[in-house]
Parts: sequence; C-alpha cells; structure tokens
Amino acid sequence: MMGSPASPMMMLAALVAGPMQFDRPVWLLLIPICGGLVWWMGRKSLAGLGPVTRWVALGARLLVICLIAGAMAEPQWRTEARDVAVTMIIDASESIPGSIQKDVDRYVEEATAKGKERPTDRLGVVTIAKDSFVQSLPSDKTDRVERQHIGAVDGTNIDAGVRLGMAVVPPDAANRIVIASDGNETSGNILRAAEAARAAGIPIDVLPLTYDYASEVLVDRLIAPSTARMGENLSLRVVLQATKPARGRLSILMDRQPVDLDPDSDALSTPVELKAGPNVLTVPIRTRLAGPQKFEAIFEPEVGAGGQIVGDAVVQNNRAEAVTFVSGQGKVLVVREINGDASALVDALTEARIGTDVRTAEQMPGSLTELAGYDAIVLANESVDLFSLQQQEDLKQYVHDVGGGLVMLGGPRSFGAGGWIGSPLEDALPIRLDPPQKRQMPRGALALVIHSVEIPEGVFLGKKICESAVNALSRLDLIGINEFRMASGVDWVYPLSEVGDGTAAKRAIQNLQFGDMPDFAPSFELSLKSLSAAGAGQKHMIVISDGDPSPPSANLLAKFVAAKITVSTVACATHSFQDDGRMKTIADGTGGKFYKVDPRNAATQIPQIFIKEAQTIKRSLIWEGTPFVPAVSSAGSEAMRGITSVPPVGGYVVAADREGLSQVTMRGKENDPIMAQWQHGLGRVITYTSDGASRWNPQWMGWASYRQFWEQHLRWAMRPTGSANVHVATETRGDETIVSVEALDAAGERMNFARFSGRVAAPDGGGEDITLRQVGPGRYEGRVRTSAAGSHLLNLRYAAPTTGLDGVESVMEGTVQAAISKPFADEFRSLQDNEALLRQVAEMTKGRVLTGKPEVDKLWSREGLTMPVATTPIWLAVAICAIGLFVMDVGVRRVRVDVPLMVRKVRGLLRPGSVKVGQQMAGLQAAREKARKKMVERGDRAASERGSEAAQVYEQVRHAASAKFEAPKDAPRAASADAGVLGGEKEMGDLLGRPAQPKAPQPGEAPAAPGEGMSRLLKAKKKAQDEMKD
Amino acid sequence: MPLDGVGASSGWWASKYDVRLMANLGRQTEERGGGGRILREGVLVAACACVLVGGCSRRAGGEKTEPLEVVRILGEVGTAPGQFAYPRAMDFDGKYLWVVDKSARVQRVDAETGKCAGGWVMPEYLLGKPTGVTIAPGDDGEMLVWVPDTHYHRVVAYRMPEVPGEGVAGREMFLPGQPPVIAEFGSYGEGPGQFVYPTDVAVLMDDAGKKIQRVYVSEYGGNDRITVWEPDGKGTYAFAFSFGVFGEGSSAERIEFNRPQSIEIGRGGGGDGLELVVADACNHRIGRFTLEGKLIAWIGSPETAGDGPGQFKYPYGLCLLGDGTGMVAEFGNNRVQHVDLATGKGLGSFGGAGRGPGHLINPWAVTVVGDDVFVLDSQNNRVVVAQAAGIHSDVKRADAGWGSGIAKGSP
Repeated sequence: MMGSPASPMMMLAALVAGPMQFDRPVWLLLIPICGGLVWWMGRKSLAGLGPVTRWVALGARLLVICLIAGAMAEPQWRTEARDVAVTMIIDASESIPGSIQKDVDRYVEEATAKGKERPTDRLGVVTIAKDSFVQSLPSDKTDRVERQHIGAVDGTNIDAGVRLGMAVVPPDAANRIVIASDGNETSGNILRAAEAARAAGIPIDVLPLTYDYASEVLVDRLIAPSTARMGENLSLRVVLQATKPARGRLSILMDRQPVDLDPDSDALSTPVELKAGPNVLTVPIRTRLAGPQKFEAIFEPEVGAGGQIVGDAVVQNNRAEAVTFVSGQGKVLVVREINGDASALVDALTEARIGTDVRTAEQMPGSLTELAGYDAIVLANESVDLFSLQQQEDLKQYVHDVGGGLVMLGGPRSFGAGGWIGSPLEDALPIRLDPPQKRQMPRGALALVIHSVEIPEGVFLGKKICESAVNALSRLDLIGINEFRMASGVDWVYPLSEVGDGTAAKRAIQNLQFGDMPDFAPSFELSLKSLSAAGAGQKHMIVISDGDPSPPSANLLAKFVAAKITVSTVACATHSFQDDGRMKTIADGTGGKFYKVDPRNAATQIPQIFIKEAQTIKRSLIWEGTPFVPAVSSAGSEAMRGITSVPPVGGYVVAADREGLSQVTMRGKENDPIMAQWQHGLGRVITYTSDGASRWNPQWMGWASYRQFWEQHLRWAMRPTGSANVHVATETRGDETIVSVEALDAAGERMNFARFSGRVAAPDGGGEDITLRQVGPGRYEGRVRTSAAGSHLLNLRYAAPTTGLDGVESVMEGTVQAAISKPFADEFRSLQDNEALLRQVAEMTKGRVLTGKPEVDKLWSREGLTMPVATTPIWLAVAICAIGLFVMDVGVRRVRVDVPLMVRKVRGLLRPGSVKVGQQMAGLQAAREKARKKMVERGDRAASERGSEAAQVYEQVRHAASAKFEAPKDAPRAASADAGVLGGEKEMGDLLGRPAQPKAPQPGEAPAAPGEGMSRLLKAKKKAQDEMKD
Repeated sequence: MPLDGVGASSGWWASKYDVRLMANLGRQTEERGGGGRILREGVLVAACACVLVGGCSRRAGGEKTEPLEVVRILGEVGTAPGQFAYPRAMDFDGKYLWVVDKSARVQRVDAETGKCAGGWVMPEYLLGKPTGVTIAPGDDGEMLVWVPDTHYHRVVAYRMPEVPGEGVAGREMFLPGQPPVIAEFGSYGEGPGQFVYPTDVAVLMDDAGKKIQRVYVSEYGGNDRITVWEPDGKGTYAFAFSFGVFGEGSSAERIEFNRPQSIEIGRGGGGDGLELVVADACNHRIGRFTLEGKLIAWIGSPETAGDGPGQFKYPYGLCLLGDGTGMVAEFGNNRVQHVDLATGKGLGSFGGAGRGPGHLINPWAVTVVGDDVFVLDSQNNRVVVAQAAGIHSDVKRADAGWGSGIAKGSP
C-alpha cells in the first residue's frame, strides 16, 4: 500500500473531475470492488431490516466505501487563478537614448491604464543594465515605472534581468514577461534565460527599442607600439568611425598631461574633419620617461550655434587609450608613510645604483599598468588599511601576473599587527600571518554591534564589512556579532568565540537582519557581559549605525571604561550632525575612535575602517624584548649569498611558516620566521618581519654588510630584464586579442626556439595564462581573451638558447610587457539595435513582438497563457466524513427511530407542570387496552393464518435472541423493540432505557411459570410439524 | 518563535493566497515521500480516534500570545498608492487610516478597502522621515493632520486635504506639494520650545470639543521628555511647560523617559478624569500622568521587561479604549497587548512573530475603532485589521476625527 515513488500506483496520472483532482486515482478502483462486495454481503446480513432501513444502510455503507477510497486517492480541491501578471523587464542602460526611455515609461503607463482585463491584474517592473533591480513586485497597485536604478549603466545583462523577473512572478497568476530593450547585451546570454522561461511556461513578449544613430562619431581605437626605447619617436594612430561627415577636435593625453597638437594656436587640441566611415589620424609623439606611458585620444564633437552637439550622439565612446612600455633603467618603489623610517634602506639602494621612488601609500600609482613600470615594490611598515582593496588586488596581480618583486618589511603596523591577515596579498607572502597554532599568545576579543547601513545595497555591504573584520583577525582571536533581530530582539548572531578558520562566523553573518534597533543599551550590555568574561588581552567593540537609536547611559559607558573595553563608532548615513555627536560621545567616552562615513564612499570606506579597527586587538602579535641574534640559514639562497650572520634584532611581528616552496632564511624566538622568500606566480616575494629601521634594528644601521644585504635581496626580487630586442604587437578582434612578438637576440639575429609564456592581468582582477608558439623565423604568436573594458597587462617571460660571441651556448632569459586597451564598454559601441535577437526570444517562448501601441498590444491578454491551479489537499475532511458516516451506518442498523413516540415524549416533557403518577398510570392503562384490542383483532384472523403461526413464533423468538446476544449494549433497546413487534405494543421502558422483557405477561393472565414459555414454543413447533406432515 | 532569515524568505511579500499555495506545494512535495503517506494514514487513524472520543478540542486561550483573528489585511510592500514601505505611524480619522512610511508619504487609506485616498509627500525628507501622525479637529472645526516631523525637529499641523475625486488615480492622488500648514513649531535643541526627535502628538480639546487647549509632544534622542504647548489665540502655539529627562528611573519626583514613542490623552485607569498615558518604549513600560505631568503610576519597568502578561518589550504604539484599558503595540514582542491601566494587568495578547496573516513583525502602532483593531505591522508592510473578544473602543466610525491621541476635557 505504501508504494515506493516508482511503484506503478504512483505512476498513474492524476484524475481531474470538476473542481476535484485525485493524485492517486488507482485507489478509486476500490469503489466498484468493495461496493459490489458490500452489496452482495448486505443482501443477507441486512435482510432482517425493513426495506427503507436496509436501503439506507446499504447506501451509507457504499458511501463510506466511496469516501475512504476517495481519501486514499489523495483528493485535492482545485482553485484556478484568474489574474494575469505582466513583469516588465526594462533596459535602463546607457545605450538606450533618454527619449526612448521616456517613451517606454509612457507606454507602460498607458498600457496599464487601458490594457488590464481585471482590476486585480498585476504589473511588476525590473530595470536592467549591468545589474538588475526589482523596482516593484507584481501588484495590482503598480501602474507605472518608477526608475530608481542604482548601479552601473554602462553594460546590459538581459539574461540576469529575465531571471530576476522570473524569480518574482507570482505563483497565483498567469505570467507574462515583457522585455523592452534594444537587444544589445554586453554580458550574459538572453537565449539561456529564454530557455528557462520556456521550460517554466512563461511567454516572453518583446518590445524592441529601435534606434539608429544617424550621426555618430566614435574613437574606435588608439594604436601605439607596445614597447619603445627612451627618446624614440612614436607614431600614434587614432582610428575614428563616423556615420556621416563630421567635424570636431582631437586631443591626446600622455600620462594624463595634454600634448600640444596645435603649436600654432593657444589650443592644445587639433581640429579634425572626418569623412563617413573609418578615419585614421597619425600623431607623432616623442617619449620622455621610462616605464609605461599611457596615451589617451579624445574626440570633441563640434558644438552648434545653439550649444547643441553636432554630428555625435553618444559621448561615452569618444575616448580611447593605449600604453607603450618605454625601456629604461629598472626602478624600485619604496612605499612608506611620512613618519616612517626607511631612509637607511633607500640610501643603501641608491648607493647600490638601484633607482628608487619613495612614496606614501596614498601616492602609490593607481593602476596596475603604472605599477608594472617598477621592477620591485618595498612596503616598509605599512598597515593594510592604507591600501584600498583594489590596490591590494593590484599588488597581488603585480607579483603573480606581472612578475614584479615585492619586499615586505616589518614594524608595529605591518603583517598580522597591521591587519594583513585575510587580505588578498596574504596569499602572495612566503609566511602565514596567523601565529603558529602551538604558540601561546595573548589574544584579542572584538564585538561588532550592527545596526544599519542605510545606503543602496547596504545589506550586502553590511555583511561584507563583518566578513572583512573576521578576515582581519587571527585564528585564536575572539569575535562576536550582535544586532536587533526582528523576532527576538537584541541577540548574538555569532556569540563571542574563537575565529578559527572563520567559516562559522561567516555563515552566521549571512543571517544578519539589520533590524530597526530602538536603543543601544541592550546591545552594549550584551557585548559588555561577554567581553568582560572573555580571556583576552585587548578588548574592543565596533558599532555601526545611523545614530538614531536611544543612546546608552553614561553609567553604561563607564562600565566599558572600567572593563578596559574601547568602543569605536562608525556613523553611516546619519540623520543629522546631532546623531554624529551622540556616536562620537560613545567613542570619546570609552577611548575608541569615531568615524563619519560619507554614504557615497561607504562601499570602499567602511570595510577599511573595520579592518583598521580590527587591528586594535592585534597588538598582541608583536614580540619585543632583549635584542637577540636571529638564526641564519643562507644555504641555497641567492639573496643571502655571503651572509652568515646578522646583527641582533629587538622585535618582530610573530608569524608562522607556510607550507610549500617558501624558504625561511632567518628565524627568531620559538623558531618564528623572520625572513622568508619564495617565487609566487611570475614574481618573487621577500618578507622581513623585523623593521629594517632603528626601532627594532638599531645595530643594523652600523653593520658593514647592510648595503650588500639589502642590495642582494632587492636584486633577487626585482623582475629580470633581458638583453634581447623584443617587440610586442597586439591586435584586438572582438573579445580576443592576438599577441605577436618579433624577437632578436643580443647579436641581432632572429631568436628562434624560444619559449614565451606569461599571463594577462585583466582590469577586473582576473587573469589568464598565455603561451606563444613560433610562426616564423624569430616570430611568435598567441591569443588571449580580453573582453573587459580597460587596460589588460601582458607580461611575458622568455627563455631562448643562444650562442655567445665566444661560442659558448647558454640560455637567454628575460621579460617583456605590453598593454592591451579596450577603450570603452561595448555598451557604447552599438550604433544599432539588435531586434533580430529579441524576435528570436519571442519565438522561442511563444511570446509576441509588440508594436509599441498599448491598445494593440494588450499586455494582459489571456491569449496563450495557462492559468495556474492551486490545489488544496482535502483527504482529511473526506476521511472524517467517512468515519462519521460509518457511525451513522451502524446507527441506521441498530437504532430504530420511532418518530411519533419521540414527538409524544417531547410533548410530554414540554407540558407545564410535573406529570402526576396517576396520570402516568392512566396513560399506561390506555396503551395496554389498545394493545389488547389489537390482540383480539389478531385472534379473529388466527383461524385462517394458523398454518404459519408456529413458524412466525419461531422466527420472532430467534430474532429476539440474536439481537440480545449480538449487541449487549443495544440489547435492551433492540430487544424491547422486537418485543413490541412480538407483543403488538410498545413499552415506555424502551425510551427510558430500562430493559424490557421479550414477552410481558398480559393483565388478567396468570403469571407464567419459569419454563412455561419454552414448553409453549415446543408445543407450537410440534403442532406445526404435524400439520406439515398432514 | 524562531524567525531567522525572514528577510530572505521567498514568501515575505506573498499574499494570503500565495502563502496557501506555496504551503500546498510544499505539502504535496512532502507527501510524495513515504513519510507523508505514513503521516496521512496515521492521521486517518488518529482522526477516527478523535471522532470516536468526541472530537478534538481547541486549547482555551491562556497567557500565551494568540494569533490575531484577522478580518482583512490592508496594503503590501511598495511605493505605489495603497502600498507601504516600512510604515511607522498610523492614526484613524473616522473613515480613513493615515499612514506615514519610510518613503516620506503621509498616505490616507480607506480602512475598508485599503485603497489610497490621497495624501502628500513630506517636503523635506533627506535627513529622515516622520515617525508619528495624529488626526484631530482644529479650532474652527476643520480637520487637522498633526505630523511630528521627527528628523527635522518640528511639529507641523496640516489642514486635512479633500479626498481626490473619482477620476483621479495612481500617483496623481498625492498632492503636488503639501497641504496648507495651519501651525508649525519647534526647532532643534534641548531648551524650552525646542525638540530633539519629536515622536508623537496628543491634542487636548475643550469640553465642547471645539477649541484646542493644549498640544502634548513627546521626543527622544537624549532629550527624552514631554513638552506641552498652548495656543496663544493668534494661530500660533507657545511653549507652556515640559517634564521628564533621559533615564530609566521610576521616581515620581524625577520623571525619566527613554524614547517615549507614543502618547495618548484619555480616561486612564483611575476613573473619569483625563490622563496622559505615555509608552516609554526603551524603558519597556507605560506611564500614567496627570495632564500637569505628575506621575500616577508606571506599568512595567526596565527590570521586568519581558513577554508575559503585563510585561512589555519596546511598547511603541498606544491606544486608549475609553473603558480604563488600553491596547499597546509592542515592537519587541511582535504583539499587541490589552492592558488594564488601573491594575497594570495584561488582559490578553495577540500576534506573535511571523509573516502569516495573524502574526506581526515589529508593530509600530495600534488603534481601535468599535470592534476593529488596526495594527500597523511595520516590517510586514501592512495594516492588519482584526477583532478580539473584549476589545472594544468607544470611538465610533461616525465620530469622524476622534481617533486616538485626542481628548475632550479640561486640564
């Protein structure tokens, strides 16, 4: 009966009968089978009942069978939806001209006003560009588009938009999705979404937004040589596309500085006249600086008399850029803060003829391309919060993909103590920044109080900042996160406990609700209680809020001070400066810091604040004490060549060994790594956890090998430069770029059989390996994907067999860089719509191509839609009915209802006053008299019916006896009823529940002695048998 | 009741119908497995037993919070007319509900159908949106809409605009600007006549109900107190006196408040005299005061905050029923509680955390008209209209303008 899901019973299709549906209709077969059985059995077992009673009993039994079988067949009550929901997917990207976007809004408004067939028909709106957003859920109250699209509009992902639309369609209405777009997608694949919609049975109607820019100019590309020598004259070629002849001015920027293209006038730009089609303009430029040179070409269209732009519609595609790497002396970038002490190191490098640029983190080059101009970068006692997340990613890419060297020097603000744990750069370091597991150290405890981040995508950002705080802590530190939860009030989302690998805390962060906190006090008290009890050296709390909960009392803040817990407050999107003031009071009162976040920069600012604040509890990672001489292990290290011992160090940041190919060349207390090195991707990394300056290394300043030590380390880390003459050319074709290299060796001969391999660093932080193959003498070629807009940095390493002038064979190695520029997002390249793609989508999903006329399109038309049906299981109700009927069935057979008697009885009860005993007796006597009369009448008929009398008596007695023994509870009632039939009278005892005798003695008769009744029966039987014989 | 991840639930916006349908889908899926069949057949047997022994009996209500007996639900999430985006204030004008939400709209909604019947957008809202609204008659019988403009530290009384005509639909129902301002007072500060975050307004009329005698305003933000304003006869209002400071003490000599979120004037628990009743939200108590600001009694306390009868957790909304009892919307307990103001005894509580029809999440306001209880179910973006035995307000539908927050009588 309880078949497995694959059993044949389960495989039968559902049976629909009117508003009913049976999911397992096979059980309905029980109705004819059991029904037939019941009828057959009922013929005999119910024969003793009267005809009406018998049919009622039989009907009740059959109905019970029907209901039980029906309940087993999983009956469902079907409710069919009647509404239609239209979800508009509206393209809000920049490729759609503003006037067309307004037309779409008007169209939706008119269509809603005129096209709804029922007032409860619904409209939902999703806007799409690079990302998609629900503007309004499908609702009968929505009647127009309210555009509040946040996020980038320089891309179109219709695929994601349709999927989001499908996610919000209501389940209780027939759904239709309408795409209003130009069909030009820059990411995703709309056809995949259309497949999903077809599978879900949702037709997609399309409203193609057609346009054709009659006059448009775009800077197709700027072609510059990938590599050049210092002082070389370059020839930049600007390729412009114009749909019609146009005029304007062209300007060129080199490293963001305008180049004077028109020396004869005051203007820096030069006038240009363009013919329809491609135009190539050549601009000669002389290189002045070594390193990567970034060129930009900008076209400014002509402005008409009325201030209107002439001949150009889209301005975003009027700019292109290219990068040329100008070879020169290798350089090292030293990043240190103003008050940082790196002068000794810089002096040593200058002395070693290594060119250095000294900058602060803020002054660091803003792009990977510019970083690639350096052969190595030194970070001297820099904390992570000084670098944006993008800068950290760039540094990682600089090492791994570009092949640059990185030397990270210690100090109180560096490594784990500087919050680098969990940063993107940590993976590039040859040491682990978490202290060793076995190491007993004082740990920190951090509590986060999360209230609100009231900016667009604030929930996402709020979770991200909590994650960044978790990442910045070491494994042994404690973290706790609490907030005001909607259902339960203030509570821990993650109770104060060890960070561990951070996964549990990060999982808990996903449960944050960002509830509306009425007051700070409960959160503060909860944190205070846990932090006070925590065994930690440093205790800190960070609060992020808009500042409007009721402030904590001074008394409560005093408790924080007493418990040595500092509280920093982050005010984001506060309602007024007074809120800021309250948040600042909390921080000032407890020794923490107050941060005021500008909502426009919150996404970048807040994570940095949290990381920086998390460092507050990381001071425990610093070892400071009596200077000691670290153990040096220089074997196999080129950087440590000739160094066998070093001067004592007085402090360092505790870290742990990293598994893999890292080599530790200097160790401190408890075997902590002080100096380590490794190759990471294409680049090399050195870490020195002491400071290379006077605070922890005062004795190093006078050390004779100081210059040699750092020169050797820097030269080992620096990117190798080859002596070959290698020219790189790139050609972008769609999403792919062909990289071709022409290489000559030192002797000027074509370089054959070389291995060129490397990586392309994409502007979005990704990267891809590339290997070139030889296609001709000294000529190599490879392909790489470059779909993202911006500068892709190509770094190639090569190794080629060469024969020196002395005839000795050797391997020539080197690196070469080039940049591949995609000038602007593809969004701005399209000058025409892609209606064909949209039509294909409509065809695939059985949708319609709309005309743009609301009265014709009828968005809420029912045509082609299937109304969804909701089913409600009703088996329980059916089963209960069956049980009720079953009881009734028993009642029909066992209880005889005498309506006239009941009426009399009720009348009697309703009669005013109590019935006197005498009256009752009179009633009884009257009833008895009536019965006697009937007996007399029967006696008259007895002569004619004598032949069957004995058989009747026998049957009556048998019936009475069987009733008595079958149902003891019902026996008195049933027996008395039978006795009534037998005696031709009814007893009051029936209704009063008294047991009635099968046969009562008649008045006037002598009471029958025991056994007399039986002997009478036997006598009658014998008499009957005799008559039968005659 | 656990409610983790309610914000991410796919059914958070669903209508009653959707909820049922989704529940059914889930149930069907479950029943495809063997467990579902065992359950069904087990229930069959159990049902037999129940029927035979006289049927199942429903547990009689006790101290536990019961779900509201929902009559209808008004509104849904969104910014179209008739939709709400985190509504935080509500009052009733006899026919319509007035709801202020986080889209800065003061919206008039038909209490029967939930349809929008006009309103306006507050002229300034970048710093924050109002968290209170009170409907009351003005001096010349015209209806006023009092808005404590919380984040602009002022109180504004608007003349109630006309209900838009039949032909007006959609966003055209909202006024292009704001209605005529009848009175405006207050500025930022902690001095007399200044406000920090005003939260609610209560209006005291004269015995005839024709003239405003006093306007009481509650505020928080470290300046937690009640200030009383009196009309000077020239159409402006003058600061009369204030009482209360920020704190959690319960002394009668030094009145302390922590976010008095809602205030009402009416018959409290002490007889026929008028009282000012204050929902002291972050102290988890209700305060009864004379109209002169003298403490009569506290109901509940910060120490006894909880979810038992007579206990409170963030009482945000308040409505006096006129029979010595009041309804309290508890933001933290996700319920509304019927309280005897004289004894402080909890007479019943309704709601409980959840997205379902009879449940609430962070209710901000409650008002009772006749037998209808209107609860502003803020985090569910709706108004729940419910009924409960014993909860009845003397305020009749016909008493247009005599919603909660106002009273007739002499101070």
